[in-house]
Amino acid sequence: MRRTNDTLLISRVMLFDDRRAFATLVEQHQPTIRRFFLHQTMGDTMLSDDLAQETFIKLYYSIKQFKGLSNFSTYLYRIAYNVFQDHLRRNKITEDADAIPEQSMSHNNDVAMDINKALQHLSQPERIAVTLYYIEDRKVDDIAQILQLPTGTIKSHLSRARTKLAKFLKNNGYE
Amino acid sequence: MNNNTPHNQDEKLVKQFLQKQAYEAKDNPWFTHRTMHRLPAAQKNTGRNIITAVTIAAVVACGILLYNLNDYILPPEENKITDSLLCIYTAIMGTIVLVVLQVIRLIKTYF
Repeated sequence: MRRTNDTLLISRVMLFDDRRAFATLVEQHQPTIRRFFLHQTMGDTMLSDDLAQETFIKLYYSIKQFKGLSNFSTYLYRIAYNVFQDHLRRNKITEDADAIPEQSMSHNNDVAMDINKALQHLSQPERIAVTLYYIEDRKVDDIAQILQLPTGTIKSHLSRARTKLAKFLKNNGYE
Repeated sequence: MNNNTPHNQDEKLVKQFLQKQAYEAKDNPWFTHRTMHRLPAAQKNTGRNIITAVTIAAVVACGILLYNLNDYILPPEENKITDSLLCIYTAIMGTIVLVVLQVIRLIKTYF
């Protein structure tokens, strides 16, 4: 149902440059895209919202390239992933554990610290794979399409990440 | 299959932790509004709209023409039938050309 609705909205944007249809698409998909960025930026709400906005603007310019071969949300995550890569390149963010940005206001600080500490044990591709697999509930094939990597690579990212996270959680009394 | 292997236990532990402690994007009622404001100004497609309107009008006119062909349009005089048929065929061909143009436009938009 959601897929049909998306297809209809995309057609309206493609054919008639229908801004209302595009606003509906943004409204429907913004919570998941903002949440995706929250996990990549360690809970930086402002930065996540900026990156999510950039994602939707890129979507507007590239919507005619969407052929409907994959799920629309997979296409949108692919754009979000590219936006995040561009952001990393622009800001040359290292995976330094000491630069923890402002926490999301919706989170209890201890909880946020825990999830941040846990995610900081992962490399950037591992973090993206884990976010998409465990939090956004995407299939390995979808993640492979989003990251443009072979499914085997995604599986090994997930396996390594799972081992690191489990070790961290056990060491912190989460068993 | 054994569900208590170390691999499965790790999977369960990680899954529970991440799903319980995942961030949730706080409601931001201005998000869509701000995003829409950053889009380029909408282009006016007056030409396209006129062609679409003319095509629709032509298709409707053709439909009416064909429906009423025998009853009203064709004159009873034998010598006028050829002229009338020529007019009707020209109108139908014109409409088909307009429809084909619209289909090409649609294909170009999608691919």
